[in-house]
Amino acid sequence: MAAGSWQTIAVSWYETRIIHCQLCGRMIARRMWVPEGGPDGQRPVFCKPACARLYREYWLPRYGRGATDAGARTGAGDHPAPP
Amino acid sequence: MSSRVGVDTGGTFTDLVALDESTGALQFAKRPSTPQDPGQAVLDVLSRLEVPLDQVALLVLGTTVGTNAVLQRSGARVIYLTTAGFEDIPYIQRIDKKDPYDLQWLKPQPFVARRDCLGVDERMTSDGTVLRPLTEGELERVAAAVERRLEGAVAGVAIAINLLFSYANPAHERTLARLLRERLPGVPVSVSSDISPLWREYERASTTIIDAYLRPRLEAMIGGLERGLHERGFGGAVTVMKSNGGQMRAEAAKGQPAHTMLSGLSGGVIGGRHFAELVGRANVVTFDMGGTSTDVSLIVEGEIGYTTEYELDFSIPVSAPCVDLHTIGAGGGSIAWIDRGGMLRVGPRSAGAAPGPVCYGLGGEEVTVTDANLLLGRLDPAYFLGGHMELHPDLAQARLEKLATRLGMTPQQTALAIITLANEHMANAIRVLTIERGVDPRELALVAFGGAGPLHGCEVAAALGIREVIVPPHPGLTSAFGALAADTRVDRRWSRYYRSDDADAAAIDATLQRLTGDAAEELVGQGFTGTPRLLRAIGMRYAGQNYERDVPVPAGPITGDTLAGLLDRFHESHRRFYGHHFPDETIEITHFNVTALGQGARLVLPELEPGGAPTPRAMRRVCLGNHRARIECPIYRRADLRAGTAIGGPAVIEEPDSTIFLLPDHRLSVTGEGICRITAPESSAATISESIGPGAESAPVDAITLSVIDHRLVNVTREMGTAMMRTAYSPIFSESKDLSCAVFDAQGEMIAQGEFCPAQLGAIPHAVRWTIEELGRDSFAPGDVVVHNDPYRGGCHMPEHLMLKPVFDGERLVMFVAVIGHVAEIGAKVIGSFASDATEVFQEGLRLPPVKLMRAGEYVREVWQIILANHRTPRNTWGDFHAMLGALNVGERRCRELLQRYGTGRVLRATQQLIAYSERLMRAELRGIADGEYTAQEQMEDDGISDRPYTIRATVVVRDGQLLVDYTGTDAQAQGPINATFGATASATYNAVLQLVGSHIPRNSGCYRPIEIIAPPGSVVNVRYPGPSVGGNTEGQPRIVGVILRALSRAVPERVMASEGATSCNFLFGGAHPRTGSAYAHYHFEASGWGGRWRTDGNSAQNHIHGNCRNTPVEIFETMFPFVVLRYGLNPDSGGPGTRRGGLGTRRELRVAAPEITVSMMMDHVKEGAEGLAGGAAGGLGGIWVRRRGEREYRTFVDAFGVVSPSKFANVAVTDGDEIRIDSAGGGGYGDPRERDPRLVVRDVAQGLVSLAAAERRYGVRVTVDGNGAVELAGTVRGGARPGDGERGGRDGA
Repeated sequence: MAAGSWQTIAVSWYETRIIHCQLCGRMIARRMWVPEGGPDGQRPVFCKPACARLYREYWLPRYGRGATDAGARTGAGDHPAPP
Repeated sequence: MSSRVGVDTGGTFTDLVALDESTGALQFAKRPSTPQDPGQAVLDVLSRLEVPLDQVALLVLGTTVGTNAVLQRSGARVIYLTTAGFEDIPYIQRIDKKDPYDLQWLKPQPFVARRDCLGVDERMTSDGTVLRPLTEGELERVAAAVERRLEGAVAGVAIAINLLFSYANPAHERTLARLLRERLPGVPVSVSSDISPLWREYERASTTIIDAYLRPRLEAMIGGLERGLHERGFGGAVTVMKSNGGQMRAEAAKGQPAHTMLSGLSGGVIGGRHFAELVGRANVVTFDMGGTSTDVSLIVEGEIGYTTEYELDFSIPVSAPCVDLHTIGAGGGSIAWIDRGGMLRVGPRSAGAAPGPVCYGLGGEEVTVTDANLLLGRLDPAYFLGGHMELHPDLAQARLEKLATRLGMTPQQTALAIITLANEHMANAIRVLTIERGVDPRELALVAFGGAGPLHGCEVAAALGIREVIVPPHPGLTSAFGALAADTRVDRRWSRYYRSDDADAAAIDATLQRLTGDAAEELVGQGFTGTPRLLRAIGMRYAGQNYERDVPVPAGPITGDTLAGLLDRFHESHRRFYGHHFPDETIEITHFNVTALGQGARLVLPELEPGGAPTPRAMRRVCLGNHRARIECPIYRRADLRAGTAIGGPAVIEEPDSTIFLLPDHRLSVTGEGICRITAPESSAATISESIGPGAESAPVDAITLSVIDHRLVNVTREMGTAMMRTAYSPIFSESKDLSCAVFDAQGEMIAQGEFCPAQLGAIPHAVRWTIEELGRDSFAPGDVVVHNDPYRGGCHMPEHLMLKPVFDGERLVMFVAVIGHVAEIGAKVIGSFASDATEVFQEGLRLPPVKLMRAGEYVREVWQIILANHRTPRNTWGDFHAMLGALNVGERRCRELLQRYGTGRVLRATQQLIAYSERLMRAELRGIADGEYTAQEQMEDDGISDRPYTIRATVVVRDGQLLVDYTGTDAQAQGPINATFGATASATYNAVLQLVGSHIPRNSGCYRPIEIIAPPGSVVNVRYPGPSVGGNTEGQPRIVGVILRALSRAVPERVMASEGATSCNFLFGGAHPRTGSAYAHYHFEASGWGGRWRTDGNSAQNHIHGNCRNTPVEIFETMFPFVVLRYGLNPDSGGPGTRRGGLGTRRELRVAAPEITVSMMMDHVKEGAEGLAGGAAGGLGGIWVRRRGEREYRTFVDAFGVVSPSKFANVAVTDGDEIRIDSAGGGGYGDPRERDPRLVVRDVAQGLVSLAAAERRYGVRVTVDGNGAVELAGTVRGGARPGDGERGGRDGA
């Protein structure tokens, strides 16, 4: 598991704001995973450690600043016809 | 003449029991069945009679001829006549499917060809008033059309008549039937109002068609038998067992085949009850276990349970009175196999009679339950069928060892596991039968019969906590015995509507008297001469509910006081079964049942000589269970037992047609009539956790217990769903089943779900986890219920309301039970709460974050008051919310029973193991998809606010059993309400994956774990506050499923389908009902066409794969809402052309029957059809149009009312006489249409699914039709539709 910690969102009962996981987009009710450090000093929050890992290993290389990995697409070309 | 004979024709043997009434002597005989000519086996077995046939006064026959004809599809050609505009009802059915995650599912074909479904120009209204008379001219036209259709070939033909609302007024049906009988003498005519005078037109159609389908076959069989009997000197009467357990004259049976579908099974129930009565047991479950299936039935206080909801196959109902049997595919021939997750399974596949179990030595290669019994020493290889059939244990042993090696178990452990699993399946069947009816199985005795029943009876009983097992003499012949003992029985049922606030006791009394007189008269016609026993019942429900409960009516006239007492009994019955009742609520009386019974033969079994314990014939090493070593076990012959004999277990008692396996510590005693009564020790009903021994509280749960607990939890959710459906006030629950139920652990991990709506099931874990996290686990107390519909807190969309209830073990919170359902009206700017023009959540209804609705079992009144004040139809909300609460009560009760039985620690460990197992299985399945990245996109046409498409884009990354669905690149959130919530997108994602990897994975949180989702907030697949989302669930979600299927189509082309119609055609309406003045609102949707698949065409008129809802029957729709439905049918040519054609969409036309109705619409696929795949063309378009009163042409709502979008508009007032047409979209084709087999194109043309023009233009197939409608292939001109040329399904020339 990448370094980080579970933190509780401090929210009053009358508040209505919703926080989304930086990677998957899921809404976080109270417990969020906050990795140590972060790109450009930002502190993205996640719903679980696995999302932090995917963010680092999949999302940033693909969509982050200076991304180079557009991903190799499989299955281009003709689609097989049914028998 | 002094003898009576009962004969039961089973799949393998035809059995006979004869009673000499002068001496009381009984004779038993058995001969092989002759399925091709069932009557021959009857004559064969009668030849074994010790008395001459001319001495037989009565022959009672239980027959499977109807079942076999259905299985083999060998019945009559049926001409189906129905109200014009509704000819496709048998093909549309109820639009749901058996397994929500089976993409390859084929909709069952009705027993009538589509071209033989003919319309009759006539119409009744819901109260039986003639809306359109059946004229002489129309009668002539219909008769001529039928004659033309038959072309003089009347042999093997039958006619089925089912007109709308015939249960309310059968006059048109009777007139039509009379004419056809005159014009076509010799052609049987089945009339729905005679056979099944109940509402719901599809169920009635199916029943009437089946009746007609079987008529010639049954007539031929009975006629042939009667002739054969006559030739042999038989001069007595022949009667046939009915599905209801009674018997009727063979002559009458010929005319009522739908009432004999369970003829061959009901005898077993009667026989089981007979033997139970002989030992003084009034509450029993009958357990008839044969080679391929097991039938169980419940008897309470001596009364057999009855139902009218029997299904031949999924979605092929027969609505005729029948004994309430539950049949499961578990028998001696059930095959053991290992699934991909490594778990042992048993059945439902069976080795049948040929090749049969491995030990038969007939070529069988798969281990069966019988093989396992043999290898455990419970069967004697030299005394099977009394020694007439040799078994081969060596063959079975070799196969079992292979299976055991794969499981990492010993052969003995494997054999025991097979038996345990089979027993658990059967025990579950009994649970379903008993617990759903509120009966505790532990208070029953089990009557075990059939060839294999006594072998498994003790263990099945032990699994249920049942302490007495009753084994009749000759247990393999109990059904024949039952036929002999059956009463003559006539059932009369009549649908008639009254309300408790204006019920006319005198009119009800008159109705009951008329029915009683009819039934008694028919009983006399059946040859009964004594005093009949009369049973009466009235069907009641709360106003708004759609399912009734039968309340027994005492003897005597119905007065005001009697009626008041009956209403009180209904309230009490409702409270007892569902946990709540509404004493001030109006009760609707919907139907009347009368049963006239004539006492059957009094059978006295010969007394056995008294005697002590017999000497065992042998000792054999038998494995008893619980992984114990084999021990020497005494083997007895049943013929050696005497009255008063007592034997202690373990023991095996053998007889030619069955074997009793007596468990250790059980005691068997023999009655004077030779009935074996087996009593279990007190401890056998204790919890399983107590019997496991030391270490049980921490050890992993064994695989068998795991499977048992899994089944039990799934059954809990099913029972919750049934309770909710049957008590709901809105048809969206009660008819459409837009609801789901699940069980969670204390952390919010889902541990079980039933066969509900995938659109809800994937979201429910997110909504539940949010609720627990936001409120805190400590905030829950026993009796609390939380409600929640917030789309930004894990919900699907606003109408979907989640209710969550904790389950406590003492003071410890251990589980949650949850229900989610689409509440039909929750406020909003639009009646029906589906605002197609909403731009904010505040316009979509009352938003509820997780709040307590009940606290410690008490109403939180303030919350209820806020909710009811903000919904337009608060009475429906009140009823529907209570239906949800009732389901939670049922779920909580069942979970607590499970915890009590297995121990809380054990159950909780089992649930964690099940989650891990499910995850393992999912990863194994995903490894079957080649690693790689697959992309696709789909477009929604517009959002109802601006005229521009919205794109959903998905990249699916597959890596070593892990799957990531990345929606990055999807368009930004729309202004209108087509946005999906995160919960809806998650549901769609999980659903698509489950559709591809098989439906056998236990659906708990574990199966979702290998699936990661990236759904960018603020996009069409993850709406941000305060964006609207009501249409994202119904329109967006199916497109998300579709985009994943399309992306993975290159990896697993054989598992996907082309795009489905994928629009729900959400049609909302409401207002003040002209009949009552009360507010009403309804959420209506349509089925569409599925896409073509690798090997099969798409299903027509099928609910989308993201749902598993049902349509609302026309007869219920019109009864509740002020519309007249003018037409509901398939839309020819709407299936996308392809090698595998897309399924057809539907067309519905409605006429407004109120001064004003406010309508709204949200649909898609009105500009672009559902895409084809691999060269297949797009499906036909959907749409909605209006024809204002007095106008000739339909127009779009844009033209008629000036709305912005033709497919998404809100709050349009239509008025009396306006007509609305709704077309749903067809499915896309799969593969180049020019490659479609021309014979299939010809078939489609013959069935009216594809027009002549479309056949040539789209498929390049020339078809000719002669003057009589015969269709032939004339040639091919392969220039049909090509991808990209703009071709799609749709009406040629329309």
